[in-house]
Amino acid sequence: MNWGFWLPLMVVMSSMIPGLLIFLLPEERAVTRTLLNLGGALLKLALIAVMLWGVYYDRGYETRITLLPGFDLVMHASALAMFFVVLSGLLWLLTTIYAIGYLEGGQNKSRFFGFFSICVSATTGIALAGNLFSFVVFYELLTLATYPLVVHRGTPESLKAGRVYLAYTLAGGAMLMLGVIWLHSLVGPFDFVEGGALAPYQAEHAQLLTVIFFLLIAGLGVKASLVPLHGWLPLAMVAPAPVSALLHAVAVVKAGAFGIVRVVYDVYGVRVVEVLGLDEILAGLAALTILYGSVLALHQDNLKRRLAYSTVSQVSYIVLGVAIAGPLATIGGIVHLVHQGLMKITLFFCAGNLGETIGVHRISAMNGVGRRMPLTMAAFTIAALAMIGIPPLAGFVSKWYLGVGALEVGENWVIAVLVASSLLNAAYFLPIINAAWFNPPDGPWPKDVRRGRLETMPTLLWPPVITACAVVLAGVLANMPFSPLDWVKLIANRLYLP
Amino acid sequence: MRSIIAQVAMTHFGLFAVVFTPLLVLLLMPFARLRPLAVRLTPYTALPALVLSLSVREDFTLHVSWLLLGTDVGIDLVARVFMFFSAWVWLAAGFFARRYVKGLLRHRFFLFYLVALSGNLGVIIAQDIVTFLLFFSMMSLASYALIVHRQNAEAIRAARVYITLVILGEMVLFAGAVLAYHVTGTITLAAMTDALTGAAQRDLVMLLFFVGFGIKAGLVPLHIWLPLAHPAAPTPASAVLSAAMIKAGFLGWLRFLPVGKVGLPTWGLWCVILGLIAAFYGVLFGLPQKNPKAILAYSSISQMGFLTLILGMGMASPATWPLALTALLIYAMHHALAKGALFLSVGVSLEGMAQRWQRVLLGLGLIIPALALAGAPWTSGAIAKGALKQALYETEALQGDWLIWLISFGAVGTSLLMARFLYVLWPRHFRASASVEPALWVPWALVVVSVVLVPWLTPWPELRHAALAASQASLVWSSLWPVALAAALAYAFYHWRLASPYRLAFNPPAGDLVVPVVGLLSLLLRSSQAFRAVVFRKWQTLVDRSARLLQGPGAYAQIVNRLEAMLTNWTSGGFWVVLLGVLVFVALWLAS
Repeated sequence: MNWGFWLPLMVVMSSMIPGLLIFLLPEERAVTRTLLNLGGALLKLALIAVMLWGVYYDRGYETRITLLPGFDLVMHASALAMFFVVLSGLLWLLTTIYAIGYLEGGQNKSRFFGFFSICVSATTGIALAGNLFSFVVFYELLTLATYPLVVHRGTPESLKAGRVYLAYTLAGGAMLMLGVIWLHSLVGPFDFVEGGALAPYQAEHAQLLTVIFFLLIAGLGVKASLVPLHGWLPLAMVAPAPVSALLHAVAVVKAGAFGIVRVVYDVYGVRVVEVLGLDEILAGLAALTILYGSVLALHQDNLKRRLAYSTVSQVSYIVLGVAIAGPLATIGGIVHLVHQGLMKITLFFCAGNLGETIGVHRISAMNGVGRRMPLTMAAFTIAALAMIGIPPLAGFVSKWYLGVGALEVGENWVIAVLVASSLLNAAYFLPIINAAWFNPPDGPWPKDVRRGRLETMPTLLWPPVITACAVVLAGVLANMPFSPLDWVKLIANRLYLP
Repeated sequence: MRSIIAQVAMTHFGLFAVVFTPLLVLLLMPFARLRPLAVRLTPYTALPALVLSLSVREDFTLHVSWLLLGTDVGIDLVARVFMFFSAWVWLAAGFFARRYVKGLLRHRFFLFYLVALSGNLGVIIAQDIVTFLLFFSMMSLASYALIVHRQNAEAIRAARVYITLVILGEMVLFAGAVLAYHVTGTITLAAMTDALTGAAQRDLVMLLFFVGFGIKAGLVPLHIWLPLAHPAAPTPASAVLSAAMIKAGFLGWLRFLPVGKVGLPTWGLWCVILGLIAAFYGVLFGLPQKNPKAILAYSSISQMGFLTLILGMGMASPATWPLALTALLIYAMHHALAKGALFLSVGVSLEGMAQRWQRVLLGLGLIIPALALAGAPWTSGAIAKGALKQALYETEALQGDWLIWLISFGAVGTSLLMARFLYVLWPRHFRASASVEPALWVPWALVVVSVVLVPWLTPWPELRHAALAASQASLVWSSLWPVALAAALAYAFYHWRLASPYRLAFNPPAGDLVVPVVGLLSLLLRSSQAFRAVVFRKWQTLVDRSARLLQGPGAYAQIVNRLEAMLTNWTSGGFWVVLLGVLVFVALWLAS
């Protein structure tokens, strides 16, 4: 068997097949469903581990299936792809465990977990996609697979959110599709190339390439929630907590950000983007989003809504790092892909725990929750401090490289944006931390689900604790081999050295 | 050879023990049954640092490449001295707190106490930017819990002002650190400051660090959190805040600024001026205070002014730096021990004293550190001021009698402040039934004893020689007259007070010589008090208003909310479809 060919496909399929099988399961077969879910997640992780090892030693893994002449479905395991794949694989496992606990006693679980698995397959596919065509295929699959998750509860509110989500993402998808087809007709089929594939055409088609760039960014920016394309994200927080967690940390938002990374580095190439003067515009857009999201997060009382606006802001750190386009800023931007994922998934897990266990959804009702749910709030606190960028947590590492990288290429204004954003982060996270730990509770909780000696169900408790530990370790051990930072340095080396 | 290796291994282990011992005890905290044990162990967690500071004679640094962004920790003379006095005060305050902090929130207090302790000690051994900032924020953030501990309106307001300034400081330091790394290409502090000396953006980097650490060091006008926080915190927490943690900000200056590596006359002059302003500002605003801990807080601001002044001398002329550094270390240690003793005495003297001998000892214990801080002859204060003056004589860039005179008048101010403190605190009513517990007075007494002894028994030869030289060179007269002048003022007003009609209305406590001093000063400074009240009110409204602006439903929020409502409407998704069509059209037109 040719591992080099099959492995990427197997990684994608390892969650797709369990997903399809789960659809066939009747609702009450909980054990089988759990086995399929966890088995798929673990198998996927094992396959990823094998592939990671190979990629580290520069072994090539590529699945190439020619659908039509000129349209190859390519899954290629590059260092950058692996970075995203590892993130989605690990967090999928944790989110599955979390979701099993969260949805206990709920309805339509087969539907939920089926789409949940497909969602992860699509994300993995987006990560591994080796050309724009494959990217679009998985990108659209993700849009469709996420919709049932957003509207899972079936309430009018969630149906409205689902409508808005579809309107935004389908329009975005259409723009992306248009851009891709146009590019295809202009230069013919091409794969992602580290350093950019379009350099030879830059002189000839400068104007058109600029237009296409904006089409691509507009299409990807919807999912990456660049202002003013972010309208769907705060509404989508009505989805169940594990969905929000996955949406904000790994799947949808990250797919958009990752797409922007791909377009800038592997399609256009940093140099072409710079020559066309697009980097400044993209950086400005990212800076605007960072500040706008933070300002809006300030006066949200609904915890998940505040977190959603925080995502709008934080994801644009990635875009900012990419747009600044120096080696160090690249490191900062790409490493934030993982760091933001770890931090935000922790925060959403914790928000879900509060809602499920004691019925607290609003920040104004969070007084004293630290005493009732110490471990949950400890995890929340760590993630929130990391968001602010307190050393040695993960967020600090991202911010450090973004700051240093911006200075490296003379974009000094970025420091002001980073500082302002951190201040705003502090302004909307610290009051929560203060209320949770230092204010006495206002009264009995709206509801109280006790589970033995722990503060809540173990399946709900341990995932955020684990990710919070990861937030700490990603910062403290940043210089270790195989830390996110170390891996990103490998990527950046391959991007900038040749 | 083998013994050397063993010794090196021991010191490396020691460095980690310094930081991790408090954190290990912290690990007991999640388990309800082990919490009492954790509290029992808390004071001892400062011991490894104390031992290390006294036992390790050689400077060394240790590079751990895989930790953080590459960590450097190490120990040098500065670290030894800072570690000694910090650990000593934390140790005493820990014992004190075990008895003093009671109630429901006891365990929370100790949890954050341990974090802050680890951070404080970590700052001292950190030798690179990131590690330093890591421990610095650990300490700063954990202190929030110590300040807010009492949960009353005063504590909550103090803690809010404090955390605001901490976060602002963090941001300024982050900008400074990033810029410093960009300019110098290294995060190792020694190499960074070396490279900074000739860098183009040197002054900007220095300014960022100066302001960022200045917040912690109580630099006027960034000190505003200090007089609020110190009275609000429980007494042992105030002691460590004012004795140890305030010095961490100063340590930041020592580590991050290229002092002594290049002549910075302008910077030096500014430091001297800012230091003098702080020195007098603290006195002026401290005297009208009624809360003894507020007086001490202002005294800390004033004393940090003197430290800033010494730093300025070192900046002005690198040649003086060795002398100035010695003076700095002596002064910092002196202030930490004396201020630690004074803060703990606030806790002790509010308890009852049954026996007469206890009262005598209490009085002595109050007066000794106060005299030391005032700089009376043969105290640590006199030695510190002597070392200061010695360094000053050697500083060619800063000559002139005016400086000596100002420093001496500063000493008068310090003495008056101490008199006011003693007056406010002096126990007037002894409850015969109550008796202060040994668990409280023993730690305090140990610190008081250290105030007396440590200047003469300084454990490090470099400092001991300097201290002895300073004590011999400093004429008794020059350290005596400021204290004497303050006493004379007191005496004069004692009479004035006797003549006043108020004297008939009430009897001041017997044997209280400090009363008239306060009478004079409350008259002199009533105007300044009113001024302070006005300024403070203005500041408070400013803070409130900006908080409202950020969070409240003001006009601005309405606009933003309306904009958001528009974007979260699903028809705007349709808008993008239309826009798409327009874009396609424009693009096609461009292409043709």
